[in-house]
Amino acid sequence: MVTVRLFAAARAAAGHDRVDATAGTLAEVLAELIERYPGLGPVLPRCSYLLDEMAVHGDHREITLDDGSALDILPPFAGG
Amino acid sequence: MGAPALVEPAGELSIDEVRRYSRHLIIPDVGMTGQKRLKRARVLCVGAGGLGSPALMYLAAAGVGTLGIVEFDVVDESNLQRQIIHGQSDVGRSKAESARDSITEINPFVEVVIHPERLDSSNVMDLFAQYDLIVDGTDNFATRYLVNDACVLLGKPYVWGSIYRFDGQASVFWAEYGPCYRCLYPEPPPPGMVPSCAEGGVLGVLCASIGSIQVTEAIKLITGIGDSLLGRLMVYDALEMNYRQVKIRKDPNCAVCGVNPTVTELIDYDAFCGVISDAAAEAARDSTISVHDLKRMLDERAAGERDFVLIDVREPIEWEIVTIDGAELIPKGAFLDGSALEKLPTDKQIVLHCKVGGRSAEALAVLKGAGFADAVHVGGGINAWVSQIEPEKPNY
Repeated sequence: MVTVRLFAAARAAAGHDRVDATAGTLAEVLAELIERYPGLGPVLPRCSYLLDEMAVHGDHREITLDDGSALDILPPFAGG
Repeated sequence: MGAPALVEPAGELSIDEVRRYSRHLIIPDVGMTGQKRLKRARVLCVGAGGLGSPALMYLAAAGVGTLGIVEFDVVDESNLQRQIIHGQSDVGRSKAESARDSITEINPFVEVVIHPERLDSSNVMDLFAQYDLIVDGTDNFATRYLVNDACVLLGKPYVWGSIYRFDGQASVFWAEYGPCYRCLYPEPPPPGMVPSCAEGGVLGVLCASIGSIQVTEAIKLITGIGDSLLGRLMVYDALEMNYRQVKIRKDPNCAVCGVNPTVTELIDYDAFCGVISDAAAEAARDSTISVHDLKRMLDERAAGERDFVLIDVREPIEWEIVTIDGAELIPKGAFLDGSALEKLPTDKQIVLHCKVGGRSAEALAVLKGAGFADAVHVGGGINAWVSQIEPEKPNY
């Protein structure tokens, strides 16, 4: 399992601030999350993902989340 | 994290200054030396709006010797719900001048330098070079990436904060000692997908919650005390009333502060962020689909379960580089001059895409205005499509 922490609009859309998901590629993890929490569908495309504290780049299907890893999902906003 | 005190102490404090700052001077961690560091510090606040208001007021009260203000806007009545550095009688005045007057009233020992101009690539380096530390209170992604990149290139610490509705985020970015803003947010969100405070609103007092964190961090960096938010993101939820922390590591692949940076000078930030008009942002707000949505829709269309028209609004030269199978090309210009409208079916949903989502949002605004109520555009455009759906295709 991987631990997913959701923030701001992502937390609101899922109704949870922390959920577990099945280990796999980032694309698979996100697909599982959207299936479980459809409200995340419109939110995730704008989010930044930190995998074990490091920003994720590139193709989500080539990024692997091992058991025990932590994914932070952060929707950006720029208000000031 | 272990950065040394940013500013060397100034000379002696006057008797009036000692009286004024006595509650700081008797804290052992601050003391006379810390207060002298604050006196000698030069802090630039970008924006005198929601975050800038409390930030400037507390920086002034704390005794920061020189405060710069970059702000070109004028005070509007709708600002007063949160921008507490301005008052009723300031409506219509320059925000920079209004802020200067408030600061002088709070602490006449502060030297205020106003820069009544719009921050851009042409002036940012000269401006930032005059200051020790930058406090960001701007309200858009393009300026935030501009501020970050300039801070990285100049080696300046960047005290960042951001607010929306009931949510706030704050951190310290300083590439010399830790991550920068791009290590946290490598790419701006697709244009039109993130509403601004003007569009979505903001709880006024949230500005104080986040602005005061920014001032706390600025004071700590200047005086070299405590553990700064460098390498940590503070996420505040006013409804739940909690602060959560996210650790951020410096990204070796970061475009600007990584091992092999691709951004070695300032770029065109409006283009980078796909800055779009208010009308396009409005049109896109509830009518943006993801590339995964598009993939599903195309699969359903291929299976005969759905019908829609996918229009690529890029230029022919871009069409030659890469396309999404099943799209038709009608460049954005044909939407703006209206000639595209007669080519479009009125009995099918229209789906627009471009390279990153800016032009398709502009074309979408035209379509919505012409009555195509169910038209949508693809957030992130073909760039997102290629990186997430068909990575074997070229990106450009």
